[in-house]
Amino acid sequence: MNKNRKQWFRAAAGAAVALAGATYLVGQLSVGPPRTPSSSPIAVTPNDR
Amino acid sequence: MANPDKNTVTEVDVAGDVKRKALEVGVGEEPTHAAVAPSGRWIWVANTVSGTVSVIDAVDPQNPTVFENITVDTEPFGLALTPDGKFVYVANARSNDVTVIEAATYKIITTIKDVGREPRGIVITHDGDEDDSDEKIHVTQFLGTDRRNVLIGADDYKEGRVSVLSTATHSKVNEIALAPMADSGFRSNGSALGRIAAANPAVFDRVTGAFPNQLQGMAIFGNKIYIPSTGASQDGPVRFNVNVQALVSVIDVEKDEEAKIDGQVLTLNMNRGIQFEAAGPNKIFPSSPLAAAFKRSQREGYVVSAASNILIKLTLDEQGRPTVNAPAAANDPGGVVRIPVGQHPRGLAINSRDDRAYVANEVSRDITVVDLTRDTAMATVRATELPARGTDDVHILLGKALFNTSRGVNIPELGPDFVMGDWMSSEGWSSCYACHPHGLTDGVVWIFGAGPRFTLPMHSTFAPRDPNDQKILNHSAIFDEVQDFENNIRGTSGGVGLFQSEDGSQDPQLDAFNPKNAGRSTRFDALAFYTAMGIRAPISPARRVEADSPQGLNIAAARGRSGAGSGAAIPAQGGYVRREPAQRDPPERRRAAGRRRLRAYVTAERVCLRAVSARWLGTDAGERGGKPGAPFGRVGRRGYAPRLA
Repeated sequence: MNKNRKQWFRAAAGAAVALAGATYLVGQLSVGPPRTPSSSPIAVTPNDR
Repeated sequence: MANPDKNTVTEVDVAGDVKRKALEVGVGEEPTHAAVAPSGRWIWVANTVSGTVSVIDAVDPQNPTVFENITVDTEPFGLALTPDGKFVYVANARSNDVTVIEAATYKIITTIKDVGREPRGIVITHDGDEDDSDEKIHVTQFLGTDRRNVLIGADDYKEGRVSVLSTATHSKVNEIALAPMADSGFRSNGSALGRIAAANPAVFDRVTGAFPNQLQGMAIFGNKIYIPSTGASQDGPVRFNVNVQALVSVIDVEKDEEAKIDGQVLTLNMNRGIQFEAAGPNKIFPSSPLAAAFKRSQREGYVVSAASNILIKLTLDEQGRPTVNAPAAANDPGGVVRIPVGQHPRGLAINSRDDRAYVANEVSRDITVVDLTRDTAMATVRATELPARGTDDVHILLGKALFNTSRGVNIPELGPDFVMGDWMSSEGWSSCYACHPHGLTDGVVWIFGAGPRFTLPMHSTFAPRDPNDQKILNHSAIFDEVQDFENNIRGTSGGVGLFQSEDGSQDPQLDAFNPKNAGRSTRFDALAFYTAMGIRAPISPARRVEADSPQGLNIAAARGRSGAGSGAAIPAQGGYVRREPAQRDPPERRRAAGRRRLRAYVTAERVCLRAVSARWLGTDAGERGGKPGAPFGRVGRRGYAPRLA
């Protein structure tokens, strides 16, 4: 593997990681934190749509 | 929704905003909390009086079946499932433990003992991965715990506590203290504990504090847990605006301690600033906050005010600091959002789209559907039927409504007595429930002008099952009827009260003994009837234990009530002493020991009463040969109470 191909590979890998991270963060922002179970006199089923 | 007065659970269709009652399923006695498994198929219900957990199979929503009743410990209250649905944790409020059930087999795999004082609410973290063995279970301890070396009756003499359990080890791993708030934002006129007389005309210049008490529901957002509580501010004068507060404490889940920013805890007094709002029907304090829930996608949530019949909106800043957007000063209108709901709401759930909240109203027995895009109530769904007019049940329900509200009653379908103004306190400040949660005690010593008063549980106001056999009331027998507490509605809560003249104005005639107050108000008579018939005694954790069983003897030994000469003692670590049957004393010796114990109790009671009367009723123990200024008894593990003067 020549030097240019190595650099290209590293850049591509870095971009992929950054993209995955950004996707995850956007997902977190849009979905919000995971729903957490807590006790209550009233509860909603997960299929409440 | 759990219906504790009907022993049922109601299922309501909400998909597509149908909002229609689907069916009602019978469960155990006094169901209080319900939890849905992540699959949506199984519904778990804690039956507080039965001491059981019901499992409802809702695979066929039109024909659900209760197919399992699991006996847990005493007074199960809150329950929650792990995010993967594998384990169910049940808080047993009287036996102070948590039962762990394996959901797939319905088997109890362990009971976590000594969780704390009166565990009620449960919330389980979810770090987002599929492995739930690294999660934490948080359990509220309902009543506050004494702080060492703080004078009983001071506004900071207790603190709230939350227990932390591990899903990996099924054991208690930590306990988080929720500190008292040093400055509630409200000022009192004088200080009974400081022996500073109230000025006349009033001068409100004494800073008051409050400690978190009556911790029940919780809600997680991000890495923080938000815990509403009734803040007790017991140094007198015990009156409106300086006795109970509506607090929200914040826990840092990762650090297992109160969350801090720049070294300061984030505790919010939701009442603070509302005093600056302009007078009017919307100026309502959020009394008895029992539960909270957050949206998933926004830093917004709602707290249930059980006595004021509202949701109050809670907003978090980027660091997680909560606010209700109350005015900062006079002439600042603020931006408090209140949503009127039904009678005595006790919990809420928010749907997965964050656009609807469902509020469980225990007294009006319905569910308020809230449109969260507009912050308004949009519908009400009857969860279970109301009692028929003219029955004892409807009389008790009216009393329950009055006992639990800081405002008024509004259930028109039950007749004119169920429609009234906000007469129970000033601006929704407090209710009977504020100091007598569940009709019992808040565990607090209040500093009244006449002396310190530990809140009495009210289940023993009347003889069991006999509403005509009533004890004398208040510590020093200043009342002889429940209706005499009109004085407290007016004086302590700042309310108009229930004794009114024909023109609707407050009747100035009010005397504890002459004329009698029973019969003056149908509503107050209902409140008295509820006290007699509707307040349940706490269930003893030893109820299933035979006195002569090894377990019974263990309990007796641990409490120092074993037979004379038994040699039983409480070990230093506080564990129980096991006595084998062969070691027990013969029956006649045990009976003699019983008589001695009874005499000892009677003597102790007399000593206690003498000391109390000497200290607080103006008599001097020294005149009767006693020790002048003697403390009035042992208090907790700190030994003798500090002198109050």
